[in-house]
Amino acid sequence: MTEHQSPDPVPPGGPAGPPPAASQTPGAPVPAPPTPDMPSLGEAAGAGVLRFADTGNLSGIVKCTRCGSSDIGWDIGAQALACRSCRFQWQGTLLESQVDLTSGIASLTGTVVSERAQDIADDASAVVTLKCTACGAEVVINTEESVQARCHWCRNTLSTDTRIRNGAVPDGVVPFRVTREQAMGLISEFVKDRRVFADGRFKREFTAENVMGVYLPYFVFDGSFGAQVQGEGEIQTRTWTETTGDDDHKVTTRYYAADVYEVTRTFDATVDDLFLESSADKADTSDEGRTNNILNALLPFDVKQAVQYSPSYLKGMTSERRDLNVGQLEGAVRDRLLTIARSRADTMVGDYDRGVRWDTEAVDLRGSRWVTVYLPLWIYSWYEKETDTKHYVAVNGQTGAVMGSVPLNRPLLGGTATLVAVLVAALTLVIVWMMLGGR
Amino acid sequence: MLFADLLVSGVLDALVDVVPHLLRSSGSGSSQFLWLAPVVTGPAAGGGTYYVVHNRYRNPGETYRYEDVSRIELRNEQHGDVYVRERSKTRERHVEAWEQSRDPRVRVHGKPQGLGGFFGLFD
Repeated sequence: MTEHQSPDPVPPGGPAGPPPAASQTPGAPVPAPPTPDMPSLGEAAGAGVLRFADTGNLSGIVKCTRCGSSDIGWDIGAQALACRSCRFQWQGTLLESQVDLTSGIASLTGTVVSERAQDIADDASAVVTLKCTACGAEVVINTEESVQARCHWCRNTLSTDTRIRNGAVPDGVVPFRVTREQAMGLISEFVKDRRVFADGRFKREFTAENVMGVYLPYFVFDGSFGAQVQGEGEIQTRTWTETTGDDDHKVTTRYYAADVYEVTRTFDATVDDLFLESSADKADTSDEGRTNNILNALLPFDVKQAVQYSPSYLKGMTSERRDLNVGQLEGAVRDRLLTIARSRADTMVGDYDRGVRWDTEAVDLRGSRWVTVYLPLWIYSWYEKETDTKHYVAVNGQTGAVMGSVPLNRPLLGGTATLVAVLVAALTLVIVWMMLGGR
Repeated sequence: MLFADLLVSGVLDALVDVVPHLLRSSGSGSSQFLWLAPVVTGPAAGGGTYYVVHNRYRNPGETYRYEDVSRIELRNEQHGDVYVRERSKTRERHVEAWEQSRDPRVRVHGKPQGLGGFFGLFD
């Protein structure tokens, strides 16, 4: 038996020093421990309501301030709202300029929701009636299909106002920066790079012209929470090898010795602009039949650039209605906060060279703030009948980031993988044969 | 995805089991196990090809990396490091069940240690 010993590593707190005891930053305020009686988001929703100023876009008819036309749209090239009658352009009101959505997160208590992030009214119908303030006509729209409306008689564009409590209207919009042509180019390139093993019908049917500009609804969450994770960590004190067996069958084994510590990391944290899907159809990212993870992967967006909602931004695009309430996202929020807690705790245990196994964890959400926004996406979707899968190739309408799911030609891929397996096995066989001298 | 994962994990398991035998037998002059190498390398290459292409086309693992890209600020950090015991001899390179804590997206698997009601808040 032989023994090779490596130099002892230096434990945290100094070489050969006493084991580190529970430590705390001197003078630092002690964070309150996580408590199990965290208020339910659903119960707390409405405890505080953020109200945005009405800048004139929120209700009635949205009109050009120069010529009075209601034919207004978002000009992506100019990055401005533009009147299609007189070409006058102007900027929308930044959401941040109405309410501070960046600072004060650490002092949040309870659940603060914006007026439009409040619970969808139980009796809310997707079909609403708007009264045209220009000619007095009543216009009925189905907000499942569109949240934009035009008076059939005087052609004025109507705004779905704040009183519609069915989730159809968000607080803000992140307008498109990426043009339709740019998105088509990005999606075409993405698909082109994946043509070889792509499904044959997909290749035949793919046309980038079918890309759609879509505004999807999201909650933007700011929160303050306390977190604690606890587990066991080890620091290596020495390592050596032991060899057993005779000359023909020697087995060398490496062994380790370590000091074991109970490790606890407790901290307070704030998170700014965490996005959560507020449409149930898009919130499930685990269902492979819907490839919602593709849309999810295009997050985040810079919501500091979000403007106050006006239906003018939606002209020419489609949009989806919010159908989830803050209270329904309790589990999703906890999952994300726990992940953040684990991820940050991992950066605090660098001294443990043999790693830390976390055994227990807790977060205590102390305060949160919620607003609803529409985020811009260019989406090409394709339905694969054989596997009942809806594939998306999508572009972040603000940053131009691309992600997609391209359906596979499974027989071709399976055959190729089998061929590779056979070739590599044959090559290995030849190498082995040569190594053994052709015996 | 499931098929590819199973295939790759099966091949990797086989590699872990067989390769040490092959190395040992070749070191001692025995060639009987070396002839099994194609059985390992072939499926590994085929499974790897399927896995790589599937991931590149379908991107099943792509999601919003909120823990990395969100603006997160920490305050009032407290570190507790209490010496428990010495582990005098082990073949494990890492703390026991360390792999369970490697991915922050995965919930903690360790057993509650006397504070189950407290820390099991979200179970």
